[in-house]
Amino acid sequence: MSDSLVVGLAEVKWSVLPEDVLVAFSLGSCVGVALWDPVLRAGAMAHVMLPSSRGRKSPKNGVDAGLTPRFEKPGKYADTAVEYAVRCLTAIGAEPSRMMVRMAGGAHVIPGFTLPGGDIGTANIRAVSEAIERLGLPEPRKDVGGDYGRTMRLYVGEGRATVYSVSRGEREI
Amino acid sequence: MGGKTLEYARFHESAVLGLESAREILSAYTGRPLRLAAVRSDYVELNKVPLLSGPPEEVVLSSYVTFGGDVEGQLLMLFRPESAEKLAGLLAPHVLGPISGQRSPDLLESLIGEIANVVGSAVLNKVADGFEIKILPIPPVIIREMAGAVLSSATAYAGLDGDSTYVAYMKATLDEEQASFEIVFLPRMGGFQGTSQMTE
Repeated sequence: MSDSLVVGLAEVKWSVLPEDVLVAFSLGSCVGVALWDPVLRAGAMAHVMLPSSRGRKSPKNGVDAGLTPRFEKPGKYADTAVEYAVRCLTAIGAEPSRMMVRMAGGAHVIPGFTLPGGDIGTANIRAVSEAIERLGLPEPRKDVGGDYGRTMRLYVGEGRATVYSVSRGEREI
Repeated sequence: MGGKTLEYARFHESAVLGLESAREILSAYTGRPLRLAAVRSDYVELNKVPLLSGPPEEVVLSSYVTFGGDVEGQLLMLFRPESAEKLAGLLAPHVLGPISGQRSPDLLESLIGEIANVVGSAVLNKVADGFEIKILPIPPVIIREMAGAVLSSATAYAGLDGDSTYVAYMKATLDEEQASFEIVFLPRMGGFQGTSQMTE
């Protein structure tokens, strides 16, 4: 019996429970990053929304002390999200160089939807790839780009990652 | 350009006027009096947007409009497949009646595009009037994709500015046939001010 842990927009979650499935639903331009340590059999997933934090401070808990709701979370930006996900696992003894790395998403779902710097999905893919390289993680397996949404799952007990899309169904990456 | 902050309660009033205006136009199109049965409205934090429209993997027809002017942002309209067929059937019963939208997806998308154009223009015009601002929309595109993927992509754009931007979410139901659609209004700059009260 598996338990789904939904990794929402801009969130990072991790687990060591073999029955857990980390899932990032309906990635559009967002990129899902899955990390798994084969020795600890522990996994983490980030649901990255934007390429760069541009030096913004990461909040302690995503909620401001005042009444103003805050949206900033470590998973919002590629540079902070991947690092935070790695730290979640290294804190319990995982080793970055032996991690299994998968990434999915970064699509161009809405025609004509671009930022001044170009397509946001492409920018997210590039930024996540750079963060993975900077942090010394192994080369990821990817299912990225295109013009369709994807759901990414990481089965924590098996270290298996799948990607589902409407047109292609579910497949392992 | 941009930078205005919208007051949510006033936005809601203007948007409902826009929906009423759209209802009148669609009634004239169809030659039968349509009723705006219900408008549910809320405003929510950005990170809740991908889950607004129910199951995020469910495929919907979406109309997507970006706009500039005094307020920049995006207007999304989401149509569940069964509601899309009902709405298109209302608009063109002689055309879509004998043909299933599943067998003629291009025709269905075209009809939904018309409905989205009418509703989206009416809502944006009334919001512009209500706030005495200029809103300049570009023509909509129609997308058939997972609801969550469309919503999260739009959210990424809106999420560039600030940490506490809100969006407006409305669910409108037309006529006794209970054909409903959802509207998500994502202003890019400034966002909304107000309280997170749901309005019926």
